[in-house]
Amino acid sequence: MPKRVLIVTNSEDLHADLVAERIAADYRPPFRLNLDEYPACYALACGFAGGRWEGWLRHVPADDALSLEEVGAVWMRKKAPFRFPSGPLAGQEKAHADAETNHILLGLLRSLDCYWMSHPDSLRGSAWKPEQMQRAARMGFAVPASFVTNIRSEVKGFRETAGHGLVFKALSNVMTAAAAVPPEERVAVGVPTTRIGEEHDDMLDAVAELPCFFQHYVPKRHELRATVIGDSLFAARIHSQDDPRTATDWRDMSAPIRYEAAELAPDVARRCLDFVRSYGLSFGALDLILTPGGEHVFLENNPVGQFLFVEQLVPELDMTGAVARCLVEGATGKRSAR
Amino acid sequence: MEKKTFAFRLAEERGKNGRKWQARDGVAVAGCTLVDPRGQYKQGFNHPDDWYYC
Repeated sequence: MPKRVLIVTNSEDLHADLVAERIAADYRPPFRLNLDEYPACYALACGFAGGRWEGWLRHVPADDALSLEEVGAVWMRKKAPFRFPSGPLAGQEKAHADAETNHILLGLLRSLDCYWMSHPDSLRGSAWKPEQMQRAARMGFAVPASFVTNIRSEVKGFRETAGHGLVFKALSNVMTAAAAVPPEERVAVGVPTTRIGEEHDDMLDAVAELPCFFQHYVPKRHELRATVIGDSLFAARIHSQDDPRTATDWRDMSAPIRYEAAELAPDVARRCLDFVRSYGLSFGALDLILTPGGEHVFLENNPVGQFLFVEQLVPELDMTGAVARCLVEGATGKRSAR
Repeated sequence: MEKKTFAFRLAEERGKNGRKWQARDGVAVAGCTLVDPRGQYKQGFNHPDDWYYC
């Protein structure tokens, strides 16, 4: 049976739209599982017999069915809350429904013997930034001195050790968990990486509420987004220092800074590939700084990072095509399973 | 209500300065974010188990 690619994401994922088009053009249409429509718009029937799971998942509106044995590659993309046929559930019933749906779906997916971009175990294991830093340092990257504390005086002490000041960085969620509460309850819509100086001393008592992450600020010549897809590396130079809006955190896309294709030195490129592979990932988007002195400094790896914004600004970096090729090669047995 | 955490105090200060991330025309955004009709970043989907990472 010819295999198919399964894309697990949500209905608003533009990356999935474009990669799916490429897969359909080069191979056969992938099956898309939109979590924000699941289980409301999907029918599922799977049974365990003879030592394995068999069965199918059908997208009811499109009348498109996928059997488990047909899955040759899975692209684990973005998350979404589940949607149930009767509408929003509440309280304990919602908690149970979410947990049960999550367990059944992930349990079935994990039973698949196929190519993954990337396997849920690898995704979960690779997501923790403090661990990433230690691993990156072990692999030869420079990593900024960092500190976590809930003690005000310790923050000030750490700041005194920093030649160029400190930044505060939220490690879990740059948008301060805004989606976790109803819109009328939102009191903040995000905090980017922020330089912390003496002007913030008045609010430093607030670190007592929960440990916070601080890092030495690293002067930048420019920044790099190094995206690993399978065995390939796509590096973009981000001229973040050309505009004050992006000097500390380049994610404010309204600043018209330049993006260019970059070629990393072979040892740096090798390190990026090895870092991503060390988790068993087949994709990773690394954020690096190039210092004025020419040193590459590791900031973080995003195991399901966005790449379209880079490709749109640097069209020669055809990452959409690379992801599609990787998944098709995985589905057709030309790439190893993990 | 007074913000208790350092991140939220920073976010509050940022809000007073009117600074919000904005998208660039025709360009997708970075991170687990979407863009609202005014071209400003908003939070993307949040999963109860947080099993996907940006």
